[in-house]
Amino acid sequence: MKDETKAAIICIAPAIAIIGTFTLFPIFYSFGLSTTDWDGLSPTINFVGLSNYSKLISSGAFWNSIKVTLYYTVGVSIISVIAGLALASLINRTGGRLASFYRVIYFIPVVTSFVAAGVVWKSLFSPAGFLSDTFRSIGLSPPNWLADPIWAMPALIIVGAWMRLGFNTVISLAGLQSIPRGYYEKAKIDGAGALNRFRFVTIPLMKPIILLLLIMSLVDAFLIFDLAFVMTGGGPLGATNVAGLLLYKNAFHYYKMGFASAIGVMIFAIVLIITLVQMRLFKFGRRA
Amino acid sequence: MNERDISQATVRNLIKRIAGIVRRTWVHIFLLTLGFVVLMPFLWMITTSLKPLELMRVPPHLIPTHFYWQNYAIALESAPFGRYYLNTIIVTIGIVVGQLFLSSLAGYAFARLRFPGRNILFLVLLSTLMIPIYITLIPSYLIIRGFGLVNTYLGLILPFLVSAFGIFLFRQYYIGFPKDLEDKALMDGCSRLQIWRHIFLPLSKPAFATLGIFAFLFAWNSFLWPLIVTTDPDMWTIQIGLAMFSGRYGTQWTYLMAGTTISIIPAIAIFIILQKYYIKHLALSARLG
Amino acid sequence: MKEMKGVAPVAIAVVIIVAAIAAVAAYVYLKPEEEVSPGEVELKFWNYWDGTNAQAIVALISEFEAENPNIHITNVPITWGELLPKLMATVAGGEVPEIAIGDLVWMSKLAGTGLLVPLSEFDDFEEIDYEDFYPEMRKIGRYNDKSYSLPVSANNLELFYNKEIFEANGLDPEDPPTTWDELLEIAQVCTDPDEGIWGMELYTGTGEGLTWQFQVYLWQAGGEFLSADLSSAAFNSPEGKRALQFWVDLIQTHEVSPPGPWGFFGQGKAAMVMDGTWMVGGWRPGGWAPITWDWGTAQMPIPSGGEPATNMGGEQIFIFETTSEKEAAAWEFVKWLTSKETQVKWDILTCFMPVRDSVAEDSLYLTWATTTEPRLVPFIECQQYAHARPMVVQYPEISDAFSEELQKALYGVVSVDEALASAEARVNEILAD
Repeated sequence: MKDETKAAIICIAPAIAIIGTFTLFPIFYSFGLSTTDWDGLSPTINFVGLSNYSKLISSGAFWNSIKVTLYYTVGVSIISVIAGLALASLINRTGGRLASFYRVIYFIPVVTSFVAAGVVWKSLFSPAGFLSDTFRSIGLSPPNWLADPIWAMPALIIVGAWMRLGFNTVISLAGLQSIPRGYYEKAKIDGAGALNRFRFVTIPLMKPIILLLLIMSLVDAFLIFDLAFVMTGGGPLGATNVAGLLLYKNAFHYYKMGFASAIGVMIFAIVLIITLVQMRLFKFGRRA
Repeated sequence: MNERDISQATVRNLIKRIAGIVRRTWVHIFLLTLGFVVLMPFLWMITTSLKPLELMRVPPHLIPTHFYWQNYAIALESAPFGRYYLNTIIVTIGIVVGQLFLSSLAGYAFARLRFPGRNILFLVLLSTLMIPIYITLIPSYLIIRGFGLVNTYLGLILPFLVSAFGIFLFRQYYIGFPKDLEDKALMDGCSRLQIWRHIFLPLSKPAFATLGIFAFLFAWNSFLWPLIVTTDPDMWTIQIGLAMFSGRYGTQWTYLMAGTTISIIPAIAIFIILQKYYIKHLALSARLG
Repeated sequence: MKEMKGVAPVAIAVVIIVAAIAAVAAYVYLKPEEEVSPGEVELKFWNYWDGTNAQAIVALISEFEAENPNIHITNVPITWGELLPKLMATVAGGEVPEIAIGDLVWMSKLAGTGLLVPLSEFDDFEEIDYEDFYPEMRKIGRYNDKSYSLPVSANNLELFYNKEIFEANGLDPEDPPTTWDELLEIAQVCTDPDEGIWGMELYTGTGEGLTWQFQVYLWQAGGEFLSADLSSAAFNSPEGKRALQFWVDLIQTHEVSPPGPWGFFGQGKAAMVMDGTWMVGGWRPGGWAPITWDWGTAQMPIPSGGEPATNMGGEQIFIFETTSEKEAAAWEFVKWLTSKETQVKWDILTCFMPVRDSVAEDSLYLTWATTTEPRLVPFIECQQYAHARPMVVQYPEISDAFSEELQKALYGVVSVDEALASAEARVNEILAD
């Protein structure tokens, strides 16, 4: 056993070192920093207890940030999961001949960077841009998208969902294709029409996948940064000032590392809650 | 059964077949149209990048009549995209090679070796997948700064040299191999590491391709970490360069789209080449999920 | 024994790969320095000049290098929004650039780092004719009786207007508004929602863009931004209300101003805008964002009973402490760039305003301004009305907070009084820190 252990140590030592240093240790470091008012520059660090947290909790800007981040997260998740499922169903119905072709087409936005997507869509959403021109050409008056406090976040949600769509489609498709034909045959024999087959065969069997996609989407979307940075910078009126952006600005523009660390801890807590709640629902889903 | 019944049945079948084909055709038309809509931003990007500035707002023809390549020249002149490319390539290679190598090694250990604390360690590793970057961002930055690695390639690469996802992937992959694969080699007196090197490694190509493309996309599209770790534009990666370029030339879409096109081509190219592995992996996780 | 044979190659491989990455990184990263031969100095110059300004500084740098073959300067442009964070980041841990510029409002913070070279300590400081710089600008670089930076460029804000839109609406293209009332009237005439054309463009984005535009209106109405001792906000006053109410009227009441985003005038979709001198350089043919239709400039309209005012913008140039050799070389460049002769060329290339009295009176410059680029004349004439923004270390935070609170009124979410009150509260809180 001993040389197995020795070999194992060599194999995992670099991994443990890096993950320990840059993922595990920082968690504690963040907790610690969040109890200071350090600006990241001065040689002295002052302990201030939990006052950063009380400032956060009473800060309208912070709760606004959480609110808009959740708005984005839920919006993107629901739209992209439902659309992904629908799209996958359609692709499945074609008998799968062009399936690989469609998969790649819809997947291209997924592999684009958020920065590139943000830059392109920012131009499309501009009042002089393609989208607004299209609206006007069919007689509608377009909103001022990214400069309108009501429409800025929906615009981001559109881009976010567009970027996730292919991913959810591919996973849904794999799930659909793994449902044995037998179930559908039996349902047909029992007289179920297409819609009922979908309701009583597809959906129940796809529940685990749907929940998986929801979890992944919710956690992933909450971390949004690049898109907001490039498209709106957090405005207008903080309508897109997502949590990541708030942390970045506080740490690297306002020099409030202690305060920003508290924001980081809060984000961690919220993501943890989302994940745990999901896992509970997941368990229910499985049993059903 | 008489002849009339048979021919009626044949006609019914024929009608059903035609209905099926028609239905499928409609679905194809819809999917193709939707595909076109989904890719429309890219089409707009490319066609805009090939138009002169004055025609910027004119709706693009589907097939551009002139190819105004000057926009690319101007974009390349206005910002050192070449330098950004170099930086991004170096950082990406560093991250991909590191992740492939170290994930394979660690994945092998978790899959094929027995050692005290193995399961606990693996669970801890897995749990790190759920940790949002924002709680590790500031300390990682401070640590890198403490090592004097701000604005260096190493600073850009180091925190991502290892990937818990990659370790998970390789462990799954290696666990699937037959239990007695190593027995003969062990009896011959080979060490565990030699076994990894000579038996498992050569068989890992699919896993390398899969993790390779995930790691490549992650590194190439990375923005937040390079943003805070670099101070000198000389060290900027392509995503930062593009974001800054967009800040300065925000309303001159022709140059901006040229810059954007330049920045996404490698990612899309690598994806198209290796998409088989990426998508296969997703499909697999779906079934296991 | 056999285990060692297995362990060693892998361990060595790991070390080699990590070392290889480190070596490649070190080689590529350090390579530029290898090209420097002894006696030569490599300097990095960080700034946020882009477009024509970038071309101008690059041309001037080449000229300087031709006269000073031992000094090699690399121009490093960074966007305005990221330059200060990046400078502060290198202060904390990284390589500082040898020379850099800073927006006027950053200089308190930058000088406060203690890492700037006191330029007045150089032996030949008297030779640069320090008194020739405008007093308002000289003040900015001075701390504890020493000068840590010198003015290198200046600009102010005045009215730009689209003559073609004026004509299309039956207005005299040579008769721009001179009062706020006229501004509103003309804006109403020119606004055309069907065509997507606005009357007057205001900067409503978060940050200094909004703050410094608003300050012009505030000063014209007779108000002040901070108290004289810089300890508290002074904009929550009848004058402040009047200025903010005017903006809210333009955006909400009469809907002649777009709530955002910035850029309508440049795209021909706004009749008027207040913008800076550098846009004269940018929008003219040959600039980096050339406008093809006819446009003009004029002094900003003032409220009845008010006074002309504009905001003083610009940059100061400074040197970071590095080595005495580099600092000396950097000083050579700073002296050269801020000298009268170079400044005349610089101002002609960029349309920046003179920072030296002698430049403003220089016949070459004046002839150029009045004949080649007469649209600069309103800016030159109004330089005398330019107010400096308060020099406090927390200015960037104050500016952001102020703009965020005012935006709420601009978007109609809160009343003018509420916006000014909450802005006052936030600014005072920051100042108290």
